[in-house]
Amino acid sequence: MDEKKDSRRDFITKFAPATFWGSLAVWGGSLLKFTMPTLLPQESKKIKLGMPSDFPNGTTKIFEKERVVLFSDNDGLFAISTTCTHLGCVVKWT
Amino acid sequence: MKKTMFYSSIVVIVFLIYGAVNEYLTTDWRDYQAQYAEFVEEDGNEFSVDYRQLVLPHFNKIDRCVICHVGISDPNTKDLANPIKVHPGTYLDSHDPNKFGCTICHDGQGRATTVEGAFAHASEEFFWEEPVLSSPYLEANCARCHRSEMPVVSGTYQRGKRLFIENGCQSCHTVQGRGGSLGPELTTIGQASFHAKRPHHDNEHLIAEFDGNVNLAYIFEAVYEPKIQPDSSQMIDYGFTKEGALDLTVYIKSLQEYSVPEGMIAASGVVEESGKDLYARYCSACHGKNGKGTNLAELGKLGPALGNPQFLAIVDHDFLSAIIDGSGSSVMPAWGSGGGLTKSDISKIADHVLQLRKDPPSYKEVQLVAGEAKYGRTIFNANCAGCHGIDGRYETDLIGPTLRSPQLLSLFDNKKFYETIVHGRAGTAMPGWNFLSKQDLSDIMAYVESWRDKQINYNSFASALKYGSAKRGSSLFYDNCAACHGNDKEGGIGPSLNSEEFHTLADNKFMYNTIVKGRRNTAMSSYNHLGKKALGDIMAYLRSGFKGTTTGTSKKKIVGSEFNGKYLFERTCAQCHGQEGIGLNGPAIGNKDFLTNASDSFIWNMAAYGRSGSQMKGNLHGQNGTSDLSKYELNDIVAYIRTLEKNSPSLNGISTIPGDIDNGREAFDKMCSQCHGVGGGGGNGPGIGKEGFLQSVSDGFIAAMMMSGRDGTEMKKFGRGGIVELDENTAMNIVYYLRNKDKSEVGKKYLVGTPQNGKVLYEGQCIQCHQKGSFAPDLMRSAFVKAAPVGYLQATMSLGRHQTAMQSMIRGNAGLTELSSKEINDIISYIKMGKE
Amino acid sequence: MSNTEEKNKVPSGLEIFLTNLKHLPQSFKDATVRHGPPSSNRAASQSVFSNLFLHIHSVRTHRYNFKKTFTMGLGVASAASFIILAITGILLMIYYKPSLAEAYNSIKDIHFAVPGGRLIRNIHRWGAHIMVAGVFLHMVRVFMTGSYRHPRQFNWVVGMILFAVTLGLSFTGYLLPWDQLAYWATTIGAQIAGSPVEVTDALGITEIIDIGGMQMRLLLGADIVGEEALVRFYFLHCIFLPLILVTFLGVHFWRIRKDGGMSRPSVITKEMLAGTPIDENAEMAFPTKNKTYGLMCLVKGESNNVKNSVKNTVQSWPNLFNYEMAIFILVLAIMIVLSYVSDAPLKEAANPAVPENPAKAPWYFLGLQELVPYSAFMGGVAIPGLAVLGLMLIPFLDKTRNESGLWFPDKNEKSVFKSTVIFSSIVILATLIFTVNFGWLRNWFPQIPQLIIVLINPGTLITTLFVWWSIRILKNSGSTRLGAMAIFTCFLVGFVILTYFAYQHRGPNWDFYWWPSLWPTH
Repeated sequence: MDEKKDSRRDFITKFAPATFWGSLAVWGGSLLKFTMPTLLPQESKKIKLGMPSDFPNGTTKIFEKERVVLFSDNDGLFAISTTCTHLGCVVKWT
Repeated sequence: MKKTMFYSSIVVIVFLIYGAVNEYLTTDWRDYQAQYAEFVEEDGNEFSVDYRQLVLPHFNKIDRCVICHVGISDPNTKDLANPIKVHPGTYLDSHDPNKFGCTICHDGQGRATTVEGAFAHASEEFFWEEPVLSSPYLEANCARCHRSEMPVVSGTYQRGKRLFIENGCQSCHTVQGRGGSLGPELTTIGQASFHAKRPHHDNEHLIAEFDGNVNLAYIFEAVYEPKIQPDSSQMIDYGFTKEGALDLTVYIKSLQEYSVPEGMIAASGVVEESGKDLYARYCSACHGKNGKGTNLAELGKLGPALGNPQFLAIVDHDFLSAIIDGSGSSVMPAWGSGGGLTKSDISKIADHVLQLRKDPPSYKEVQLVAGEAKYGRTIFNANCAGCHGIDGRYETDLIGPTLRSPQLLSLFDNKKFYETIVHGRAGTAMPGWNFLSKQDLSDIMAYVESWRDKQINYNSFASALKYGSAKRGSSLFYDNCAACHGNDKEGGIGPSLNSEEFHTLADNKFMYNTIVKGRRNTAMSSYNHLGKKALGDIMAYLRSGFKGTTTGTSKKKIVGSEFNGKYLFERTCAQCHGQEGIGLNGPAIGNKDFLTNASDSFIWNMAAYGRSGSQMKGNLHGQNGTSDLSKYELNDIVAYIRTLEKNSPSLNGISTIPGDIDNGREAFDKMCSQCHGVGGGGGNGPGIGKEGFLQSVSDGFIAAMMMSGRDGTEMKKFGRGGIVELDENTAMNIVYYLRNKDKSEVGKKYLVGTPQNGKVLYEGQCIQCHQKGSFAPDLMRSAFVKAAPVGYLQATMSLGRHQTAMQSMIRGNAGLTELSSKEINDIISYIKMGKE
Repeated sequence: MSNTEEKNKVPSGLEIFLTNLKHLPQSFKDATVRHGPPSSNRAASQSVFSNLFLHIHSVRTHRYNFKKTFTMGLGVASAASFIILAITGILLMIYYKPSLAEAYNSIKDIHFAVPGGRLIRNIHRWGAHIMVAGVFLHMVRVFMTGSYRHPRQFNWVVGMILFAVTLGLSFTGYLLPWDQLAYWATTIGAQIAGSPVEVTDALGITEIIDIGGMQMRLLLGADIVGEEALVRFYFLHCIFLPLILVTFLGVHFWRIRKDGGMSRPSVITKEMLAGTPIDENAEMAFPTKNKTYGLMCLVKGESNNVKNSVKNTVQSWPNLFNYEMAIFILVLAIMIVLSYVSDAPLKEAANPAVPENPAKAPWYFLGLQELVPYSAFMGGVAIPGLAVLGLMLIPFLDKTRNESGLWFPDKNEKSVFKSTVIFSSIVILATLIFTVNFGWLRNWFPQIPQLIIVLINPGTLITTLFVWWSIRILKNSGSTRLGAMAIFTCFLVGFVILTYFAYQHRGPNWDFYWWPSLWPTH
């Protein structure tokens, strides 16, 4: 009986610092997660630019604010972002 | 120590892990998104469970509703359960969620990611003032963008708006700068904080009924059970039905000042409202829905009944507009400056109020009812005697003129009396008694008729001719006729009566008809009252210079082209006789009485051969007249003139007599304005410059009254033999001046009264009710005094106002007290003293 | 040959580099940790010496310091709260946006959308309460045990500054969420800052010198609580006050060591040390029995530590550090549990048009708010100012070097404490009952000049009675300590009762209600 009690005390004494640092680690982890943004305050990436019929074959239209170029040719209707995938500048469309 | 450390650490770890599990595994939105992801994957599409939101920088909003409502714009989800189902209806077609978001329509806490937080139903616990709205309260939010025109969703909003207008909420409450100030402003009531506006303690259950929306609960309580508000509230209980109160709640909830970018406002601008709606909106709470007035304990004051016929009878547009614009009363707001109404709104309201006047029965209807003079007398003495004297007999100090003057009676036929009675004389103390029944009117007409002398019949007239003395007739003519027809029958305002041609054509019957019956609407009144003997003498004098024979005229009808006649008449005759013979320099030959009296032949002869000694020249070929006409052309003219008998033009209110305005003004100022006021604005004499008077009489009437005076009144004769012998030109100038002066020349009715005496009387008779703060209107406020014309005050005091506490104050009217009209004038002069 | 050759061979540069590279982790550890595991007393001491954070403690700590009923760990708990507050506060700064348009929204974002944001904010809020309470109780403990006495007078003053800065930090943080609670509490606070205008107005010298207006404008950057105030409070809360606090906290800790560790009684019996860690070899820790060295030649006299015996001391490592870690993690655990039990309040967004009714200040100012209605200046500035000043001066007035480090060290203290508790309770309760039932001067003489009320109001009345009581005790006992004891207790009791009363029994319009459920809703 006494031995058991002693062994439990030993256990606690032995592991107390470990749980201390462990709890700090858990807490620190949660703090790190805190700093990671989940919701970016930017408008929806789905943009309504018009109906497909608004862009008949051969048209090219630049939407500067939306940073999109829409053009259609024989292959169909294409929407391309004018944001450069390299360093994020805006490509001048000609 | 170690134990503390150990257990504390364990607690920290357990709780943090518990928190993480809570946040990452058991959140509702993750479940919903997982369901949706599964649904989407069936079609081979991908969907990742993640935080989602709509960023709406133009509203300064972020709506995270889509974190649960993931399928809101995915039509495929229409059969799924609610949180991930597509939005019902076609609203999203026109309201792109990426542009509008959710909370702009639905309210709720957009930033929240939990159901409770987003719906915020028990709003206080969630510290969010805009809980999600359910139908139909949702409709209130449409007004955030659809400003002036709202789409009909379920009609609730529209019904509520109607109730809001029709119950005159804005009579006391201001919305967007327009409305009264007795109650709290409602411009932003739909956004009121639940700290400021919440239901009464005993009505807390309403908050639960409205899904924790304190604002809705408060609005509903305020309209449904306003009495539960603190005692100081003056809110009226309209006794709305629960449905009505809910409709109204939706509308009132829409009263917000919600900041929406310019481009998103669907319809803006001020909606022009009719006078009726404006009246309902701003006036009806106090003055009653149909102008019936109110006596609301909440207001502690009577809302005067604007629809009271006697009130309507004596007010005019200007007075009403002035009172609406700035009443100066303690209770009624100054709608122009404080209430935000435009001049045009006020004018529309005044029009609407005046439009509450009853249409009087037509003259025809009155004629169809048999009148009884004795009843008429009772009605007269009850209603008219206050101003016009008992039995219409003049008393010098009364306000209205005597009606029993022979001149008036002879110039005014019953129709004219009818018109004056039912329409009144705007701007004077004479109300329009449009509310009298046709029986009442018929009785009054019968009574008035009884004042007239019995008409001399032709036979007795003819027999009197035999005993006529030209000598006596000469003096009678001087007294009665010379004013117009000249001392020696040479003519003046009236035509000459000494021409050969005239006496040849005008037989005794013609003379009888003219003298005894008179010629209505012209200056020629009936002289029936002189008696047959005097008429015989006058006839003798008239015929005295005539050497020829009176042949009379043939009764044969002359046939001609009316159309051609009209053309010729306008070229030849209209210069003097006026268009349609309304009379200018020449007599009004379009006059019905004249045409009835004169045969075709009479007219033809006059036209053909003229009237010597007058401007009327013969027009037949060879007569050297104004025109050179053939017999047939004369026939045509006669045929045309004959048509005028049937369509005799009304001469009332038309300027027919030509004249010189400056000359007329000078003469009027010199001779008339002492009694009639500047520009005829009225003084102790009637306001003959006022439109109300001018519209109801012809030039002839004015001229006749001026030239012959009104026996038994202060109105003296101004023609020949009168106190001033006006020549006909001056007389015509005066008439012309009265007709054509500018409105601004008309002065205010001035009144000779003794304010000191008036003060004593006012304090004795009026102040009990009219004391400031008492139930009756405060009369001493300058805005009212300035706006109220003397005539209005006179009429109100003399007549009292039926069905109100205001009773007649004048002698003989069985009212509150028996003042003389002089005393009434004293009171008015006291009220007006120092305020104009 | 080849062996010796190999041995004597000078290693090439590359080899040395590779060897160093191989030993990099070990040498990095040696440089950073600088000592072996603290397996012996010496090694443990070494660990303490070589570590800035550890060496603010002495190497050995007296066993009396571990006595739970003596310190109750309040100082450590306060410091632990501050550390936790600093960490969570810095993190919150990532998401918080100090602008009118975004402040409230960013708090909502932290609550709803930032991972663990709700927890972090709750911990920060609860931490603030715990820190204020901890600092306050720590001060009470120090006073009641007479620990401010020589040589710790200066540290007592530093402690008072820390107390004031703590309140300032908590108060400035109150505004940042920009909700109704924050807005109106701050408005009240700002009005109190501006309250000297009451006096200058009454004297008619506001035109010449407007102290109140100046203070208020300094605090708000405007005449009303607006964006300027928000930015100023943000700056005070996140930069200025924490810097002050850290600076003085450093001084505070350093002074503990300079003043010879914590106070303790001159005679320490074995019973008093029951339950504290023990080191059988304590007396062997140093070559001499007592510390004998000062900073030789450099300073006059001896430092306070000189002659302190090493008897009854234990190694700070690990005893003291375990003790501190335990309290730290206990405080954190309490905060986390409280955070799960109850969210930090966030009411609806600030609305300057709709006042909170009642608008209550944070709890630690509620007692003052009870005095403010009569005179904002007296209740909000003069009385608390005098009280803090009096507290600061206590060690310089009570210059006896009697016992310290024991609860109620001098004789009669306990009885004075008890009688004072009874006396001050009666005074406060009587005043409250009287004012609730009968009102005050303004209710009886509506035209009375404000200056008279500034001078005669419940606050000044209570204060006068307190001063009278303590002077009486001072005179009767001839002991400054007892007089100070009396007035300290008076204020302590006043603070507790007034805070409770204002918290529980004040409703809309600051009227009396038995319970908040009885508040009228209109």
